[in-house]
Amino acid sequence: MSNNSAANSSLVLAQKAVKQLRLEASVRRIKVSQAAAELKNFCLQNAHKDPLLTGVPSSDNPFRPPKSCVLL
Amino acid sequence: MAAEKAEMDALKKECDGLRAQIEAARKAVNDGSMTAAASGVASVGRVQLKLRKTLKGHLAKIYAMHWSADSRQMVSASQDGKLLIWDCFTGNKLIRTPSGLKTPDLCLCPLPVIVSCLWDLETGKQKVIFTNHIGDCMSLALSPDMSTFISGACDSLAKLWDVREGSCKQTFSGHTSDINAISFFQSGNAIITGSDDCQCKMYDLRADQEVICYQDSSLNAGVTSLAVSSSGRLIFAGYDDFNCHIWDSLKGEKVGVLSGHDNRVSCTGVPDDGMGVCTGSWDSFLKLWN
Repeated sequence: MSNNSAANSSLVLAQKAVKQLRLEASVRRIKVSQAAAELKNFCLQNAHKDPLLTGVPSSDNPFRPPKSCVLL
Repeated sequence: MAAEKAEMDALKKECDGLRAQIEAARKAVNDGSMTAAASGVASVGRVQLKLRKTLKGHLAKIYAMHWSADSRQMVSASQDGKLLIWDCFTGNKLIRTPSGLKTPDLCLCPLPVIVSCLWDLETGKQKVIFTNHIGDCMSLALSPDMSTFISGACDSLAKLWDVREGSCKQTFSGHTSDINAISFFQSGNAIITGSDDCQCKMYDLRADQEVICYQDSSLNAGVTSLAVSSSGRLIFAGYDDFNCHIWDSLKGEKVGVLSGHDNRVSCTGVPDDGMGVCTGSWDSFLKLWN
């Protein structure tokens, strides 16, 4: 743009804003009840694999090496 | 001049109309809530994690950390100008590099590192610059399938972007202050945000709206960081009150706390294998819990 008058750039910004809002308005939406049910199911189905929920056994804890006994 | 003003007024009117249209469309599908859907779900009970390691080595505030894909190494960044790479199994430092990065967030991924523009690591050139936020972009997260990313900014908005096109696809509002932390839910269908307004929120991408808010009247500190456990059930949120509070993502209840830092918790992260959570703080330490 050779002549960047304030009015010009405001207009361009406003046109961009309209274009962006049109895009966001056209999003296809699913029902919240369906979305929430699927999120809930995801959590429940993966719960048994979540170490922070099930607990990490001390014998198998990567951040805490087990104390070893030396047998003489 | 008059013609330009008329056009501006028309555009503004169209913007207002479109915003109203978006709100109406969201309301039309708002037939339930997360708390309603989770009412039959058993509570997780009190979540008590133990401190396993404290990683000492930084000389100043830690402001970011990120787990490696191997769930063993982790990189941390500090105001002391250093990036440290840690072996979290042994607690040893692997590499120390001087860092000129002033980014508020580190995101390591096999694709170019996302700062607030997409860099081509091979050529060192900026590929795409994402400009849409009005305020500083404070937080970023890449989707599990790496096709989109989300950003949270000082304008209190969260935005979903297409990585290749560089276009903003959706905008989420609701927070009343800066969004400092943002993360994807593992399924890729929801995002979680944490803000200076002391709240965390979960937004579902396909319903295009907030589905639950995590707030507590006793919590008056801003949220600085957050991470999600591997099933998505637990949210670890770092706060300015020096703690990392644990939330049940489905029921919206506080279920635990990680206390031990002597200053603001600035970053949190759960590795890909979900085996623990790391918190980093302005007290210059990183702590590993599980």
